[in-house]
Amino acid sequence: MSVSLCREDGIYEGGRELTATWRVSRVTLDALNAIEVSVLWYTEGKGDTDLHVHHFQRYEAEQIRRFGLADKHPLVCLLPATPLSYHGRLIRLRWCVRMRLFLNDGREIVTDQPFYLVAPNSIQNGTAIVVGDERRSRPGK
Amino acid sequence: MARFLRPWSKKRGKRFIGTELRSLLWETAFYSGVFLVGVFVVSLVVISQLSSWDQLETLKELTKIQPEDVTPPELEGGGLASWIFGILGFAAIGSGAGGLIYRLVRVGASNERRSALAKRASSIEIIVPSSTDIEKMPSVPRGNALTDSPGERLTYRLAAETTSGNDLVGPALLALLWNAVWFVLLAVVVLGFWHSSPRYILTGLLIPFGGIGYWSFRYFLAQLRRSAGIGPTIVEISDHPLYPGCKYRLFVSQSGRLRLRRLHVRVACEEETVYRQGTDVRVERYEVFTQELCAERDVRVDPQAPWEQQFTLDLPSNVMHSFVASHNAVRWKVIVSGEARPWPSFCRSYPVVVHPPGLPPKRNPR
Repeated sequence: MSVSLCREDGIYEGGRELTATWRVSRVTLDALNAIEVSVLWYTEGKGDTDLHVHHFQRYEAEQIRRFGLADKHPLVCLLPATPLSYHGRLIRLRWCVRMRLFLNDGREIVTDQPFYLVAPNSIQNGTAIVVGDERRSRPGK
Repeated sequence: MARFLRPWSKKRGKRFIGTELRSLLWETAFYSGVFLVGVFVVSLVVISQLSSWDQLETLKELTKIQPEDVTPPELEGGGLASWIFGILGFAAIGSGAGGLIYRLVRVGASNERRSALAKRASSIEIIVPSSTDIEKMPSVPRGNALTDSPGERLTYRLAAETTSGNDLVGPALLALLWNAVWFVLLAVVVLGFWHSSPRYILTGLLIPFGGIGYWSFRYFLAQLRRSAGIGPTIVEISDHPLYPGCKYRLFVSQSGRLRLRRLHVRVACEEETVYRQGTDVRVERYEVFTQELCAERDVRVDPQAPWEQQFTLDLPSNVMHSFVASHNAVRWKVIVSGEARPWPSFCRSYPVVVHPPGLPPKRNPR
């Protein structure tokens, strides 16, 4: 199971569109019960975790059988302006596309594709940073 | 060593020693039990009430109840016990059903699905249409209340995080209630002596109780002195909400009759996290950014001449915007603190909201 983002650097401006594709491989249709694809942010750090889903899609077994698993499936959503990705001392705020597979035997398989949400219009201005994590603002570097 | 099945599990924060399935089963059994007990109690009350009605002969025959045998004469007609048991029964039905539904809804649903359902539920317009501002910047506090009051020197007067009145409510209630009870007891003792039936134990207890009353009243007076002596702090700002990379003017005024050893004015960004440790809920704060605007020594404040200063706040561009979630928050505030003489030190904070850069500034009629 894999998720591919439309931007290689994984940096998105708030209020802009995120396009991604997802694919499930090496799992038979009969073994699948449901697939959930969500775009969400969650917190890490000392405090209890906060999680908020911005975009959510659930495909039941019948739908999955209809569209099959051979092809890549698109995911398009308009990102909100906030909260921006943040790397603080006690709190880290992360955005990701999360895929969760529900198998018929009761098992669940989860994969996350992280990305960064930065301030609106900051990529054009060349000021895109992840606050508190300036040195690692570009995931590829 | 053989492990025995235990009906309980020790809770350590969010983790459980024991399987999730077992906890689910026990919780379900518990809530079902509460619900069924409620149904049983309500049924008893309803049957006993209905069977006392003369026209319901069929119910009497069905239940074989003779009201005069079941209901003690002292309870007959009053119905107080029926009301109490009825309310308890309905409460048990409500809490049992609620707990059961809450627990069962969580079965087989992922965190993401629950969050998506909650988001959908919160977006349903019930009476008032949902504000677009909330959707524009989710998880950023709106801070509308912060711009309610206009300033005299600058555009907005900021509201303090905790007012001095709130600090007095607890000590005042304690002092007044405790001392009121003490005086009632004193009246009882005096009347006892008056009618030649003295209450010596109560008289003895009046002494320690009086000590506590004295301490509570003294503490209340100290708090009152502290609040009234320091005088109000006024903070005004030229614009709100704030944006990283922008400059703002800030006006601070301190009244009262004070001689301050030190007076600090600063703007701070604080991370706040709430977490569970065992069964305790703890809060931790850490200042990730601070900008000192003023640090003066030996400041003298008179009622006729309050200390007043105007500053320029230059907010850097690489700071986090205000953020509030259930357990985590990033808060911005203006903090005015002073070491006073003869009053104790004070620290007053005035929350402000910082929006992310790159958004069109929010215009206000003011």
